[in-house]
Amino acid sequence: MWISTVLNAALCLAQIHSGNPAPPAETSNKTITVSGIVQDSVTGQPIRRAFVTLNEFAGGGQEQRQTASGEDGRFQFLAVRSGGGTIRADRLGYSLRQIDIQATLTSDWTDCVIKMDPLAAISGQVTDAHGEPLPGVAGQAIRLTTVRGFRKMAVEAWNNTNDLGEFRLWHLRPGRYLLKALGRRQVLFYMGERGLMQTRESYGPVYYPDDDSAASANIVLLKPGEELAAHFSLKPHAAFRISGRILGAVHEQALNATLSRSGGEEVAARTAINVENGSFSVDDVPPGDYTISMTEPVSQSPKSAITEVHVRDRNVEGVTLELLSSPEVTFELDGTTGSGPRTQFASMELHRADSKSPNPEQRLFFRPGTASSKLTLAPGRYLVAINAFGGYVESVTSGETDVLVSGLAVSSGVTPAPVKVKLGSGGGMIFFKSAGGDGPGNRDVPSAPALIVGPVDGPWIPVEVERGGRQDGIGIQVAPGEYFVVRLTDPEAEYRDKSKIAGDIAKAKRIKVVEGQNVEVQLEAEEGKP
Amino acid sequence: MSRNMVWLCLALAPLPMVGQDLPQTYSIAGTVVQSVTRAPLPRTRIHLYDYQHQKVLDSTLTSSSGEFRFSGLTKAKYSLRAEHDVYGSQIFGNKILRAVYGSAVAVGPGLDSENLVFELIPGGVIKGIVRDSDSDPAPRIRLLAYRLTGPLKTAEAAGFAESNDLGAYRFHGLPQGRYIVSATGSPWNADLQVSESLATYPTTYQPGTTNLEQARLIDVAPGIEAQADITMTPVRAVNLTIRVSKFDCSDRNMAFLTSQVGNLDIPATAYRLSARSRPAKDGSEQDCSLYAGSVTPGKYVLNVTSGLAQLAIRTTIEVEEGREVIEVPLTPPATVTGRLTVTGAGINPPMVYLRVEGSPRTFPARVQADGTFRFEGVPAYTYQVFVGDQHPLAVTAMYGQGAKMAGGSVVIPESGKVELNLTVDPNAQDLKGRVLSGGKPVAGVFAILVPKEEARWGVGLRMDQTDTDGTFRWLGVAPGDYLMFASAEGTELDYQNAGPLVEKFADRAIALTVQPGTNQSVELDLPE
Repeated sequence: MWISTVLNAALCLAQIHSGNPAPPAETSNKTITVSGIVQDSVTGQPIRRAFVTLNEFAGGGQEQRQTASGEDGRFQFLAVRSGGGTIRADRLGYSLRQIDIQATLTSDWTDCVIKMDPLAAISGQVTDAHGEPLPGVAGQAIRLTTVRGFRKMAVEAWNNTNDLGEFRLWHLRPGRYLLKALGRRQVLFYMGERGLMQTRESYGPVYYPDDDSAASANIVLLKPGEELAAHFSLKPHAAFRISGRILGAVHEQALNATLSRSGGEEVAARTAINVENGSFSVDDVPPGDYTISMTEPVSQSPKSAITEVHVRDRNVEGVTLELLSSPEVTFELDGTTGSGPRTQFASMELHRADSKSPNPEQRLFFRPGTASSKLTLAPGRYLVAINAFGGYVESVTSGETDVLVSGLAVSSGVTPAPVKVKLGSGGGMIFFKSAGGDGPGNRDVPSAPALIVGPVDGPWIPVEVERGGRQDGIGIQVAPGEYFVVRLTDPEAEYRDKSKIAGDIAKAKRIKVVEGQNVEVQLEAEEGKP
Repeated sequence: MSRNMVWLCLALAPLPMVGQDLPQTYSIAGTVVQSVTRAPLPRTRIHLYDYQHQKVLDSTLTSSSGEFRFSGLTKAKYSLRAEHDVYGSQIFGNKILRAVYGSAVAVGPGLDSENLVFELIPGGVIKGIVRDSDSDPAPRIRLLAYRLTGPLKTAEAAGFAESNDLGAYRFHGLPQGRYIVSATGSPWNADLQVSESLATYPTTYQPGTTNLEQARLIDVAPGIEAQADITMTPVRAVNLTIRVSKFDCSDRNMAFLTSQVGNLDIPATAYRLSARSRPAKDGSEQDCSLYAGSVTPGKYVLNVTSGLAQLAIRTTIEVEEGREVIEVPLTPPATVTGRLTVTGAGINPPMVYLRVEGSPRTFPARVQADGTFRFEGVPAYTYQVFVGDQHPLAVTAMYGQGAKMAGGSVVIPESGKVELNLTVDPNAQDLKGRVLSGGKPVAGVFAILVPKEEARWGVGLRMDQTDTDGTFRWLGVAPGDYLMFASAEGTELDYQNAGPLVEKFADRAIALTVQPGTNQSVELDLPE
């Protein structure tokens, strides 16, 4: 089962000693006691055996100490030097929590409460149309997030049903999910004659509770600590076999094999690969249009093979998959337009469309005068987010493809046309000013609302105004034209798809940017925010 | 019948044609039931195969009462396979899950093939909760179930499981037998520890011991759930560096530390070592050092491969608390050379194989025109020797030096030269026979043939399960002296040690001398 854990930082507002002014840090040799309790944020119950780590900022460096919370959830650190620090709590079954110790603290802090969010779990049961349990069915929790406005759908956890048709997905972060029962998935590597026996039926993918496509499936909202019980009833479909040969495979090497429908949706199948002669079979395939992909396991430059197969009403034989190296893609700055005086610089992030991580696959920097970069990219679809500084992004293209709109599709053995970034100098600056702003950098304030700026005319290529901290004083440079300044009501909105934020666009401010001039945009204070 | 009717009948009756015989056809029919509850199983797919179980001839689905039928069959033997969502794939006659042997169905005059009871065996279950020494559930612990087919050293890995957030794990679909369960992993907070020494869980055997000899033997029976909770206790680990002299840290190296149960490496307790070059002290060649953080003290086998699949080093090392650097001299693995002698003339088998006992891993060597063969770089394991391809020839003698040989197996050492000479007899023949009990043929029992000479037990032992007409075959039997007997408990017997086997069945074993080219047929009696 795959799990990912993520830092979930929050602030625990500390009590600042009122009365005496805070002495200057350098002259203070005073130490204080920091103690408190670790609590379950949903039940309020104390959490025992939490690992509590104190990180003191002292004498120009950092020092770490650890303790465990007791049976009553309490913990204590003695002789903590003033100068600030952080306390981090870790506990199995909970999201990590980190709080700040204010540098201005001068007396014992005895009632620090660390609330930890419990992780969620899904207990599933899969039966056939007659109510009999179905073992060997893969259950998946697919987390829906957005990164840079791109929808990312990544499998957060998966598990196969046991003999009772039961599966459990656990330690799930709160959030939005699709819950999918993937049918019987199996990969067999063998030598000699016997691969897998062909079966005549398959159990197609089903999204909880009863949808067969991701597009229309219900989104499951998991709250902290939630235990969801999900029952699936799967119906069998007539199924066929795809068979053929893999070329270029290394003798006895294991490969990752996936069968997907168009759109990249994974379908369960039972795959057998003969490691001696490369022949393979994929069973349990209902009629449809598919992509089979085989990849070498992770290595320096894994080879991969992808091909399309159409299954109608019979087995498909003689399919060839040739393992080819990942292509090397060239990224280069294709010059700048306009005559602005400032040095331009662009920072690009490449995200894999199917990646689980919010982190980009690659980061690239472009500056006039720098040589082009060559990256070996594993086959797949890549989404590009690019910010320009001292200029604006005019276009990112690969041959005829507008990469900012369609992404970059990389296939094994085929080198895409070089990716060319064109920057524009000139244009105009949009400055953001918050009502009552007192400057950036105050860490006591929750992050600013999500703001994007997108052109009124032409292809919808929005720019995200940096989140985190206040946006007061931040500026972005754009080409002359008319723009929407859109405040996203849902910070997780898939804003790269204009149709998904139509409501926010309808309420958006509309501004005009003229060459060489700056525009100031006043951001209204939102309700409930300081 | 009226006179008119009689006339009608005569006109319609086929007139016998001289010289032609219409082929008689037969049917195979029966009911599929769950072997423990005896409940009939509807919606089960049944496949009809030829006798060799190579080609599917027909398929059907059992009715709501679990019944199936195949008609229009000619006189022959057939085999059947059932496929069920819960019980998986099973062959008619399997006495135990995943058994190699089944019973073919004999179809013909005087043979009953229409009242078959096809039993599907439910898997056994071992389940439990894994806890740490504070009694909290321990998730992500990797568990292996080993089935004992003889003494502890011959355990076979039968299942893999992982504990969830509640510490719960479940092995299912297990063939009946005696098992031990091993567990490995790390405490959930292992990566968070600030202090130097990292905690880890040693390989722990149910209920919570690190000593294999004290592992609880768990009895697994079809359809029964055995409860086996485990407690994991952390120990201090060693940040290990292994220095292998004069070894080249090229890109494609893979190095692992594995612990062993019997002849098997346990993959779940493998430590992946990362290779890094550092210049040798005198500035000359680079030393390849292998690193593994947080290794539990214990005895391990170091496996280093260069390129894929071919082992270059395989040697035992001992990891001790406090000793962080281990020096390992590079000793090349053993070379095995020998000569193949064929009794009589005619056949020149092209290949000799060494197969790791208890595993499908096989190393081949080509036999040259002069009968010699050579294996390069054979990793240290116990092997069984096979000569020939599809139908292994009977090895009648095996002798040499540099390795321990016994009962058809050869124990290859970590390095050195092994001489292995083999004699095969191509006059091996297939023997047919029948098992009777109380004068009637018995299906689903075992006919066993054991060579009289102890040195030939490993290569000469033959067994088969009887088909529905009580018949069996022993393939590739070399001429010589044997003992034969029938037994209902074939799958439970320990075939690694033929001695106790012969002793056990001494009262009913019959002597048999096999002469070249006789193709005799035998009859065995199974006491009631």
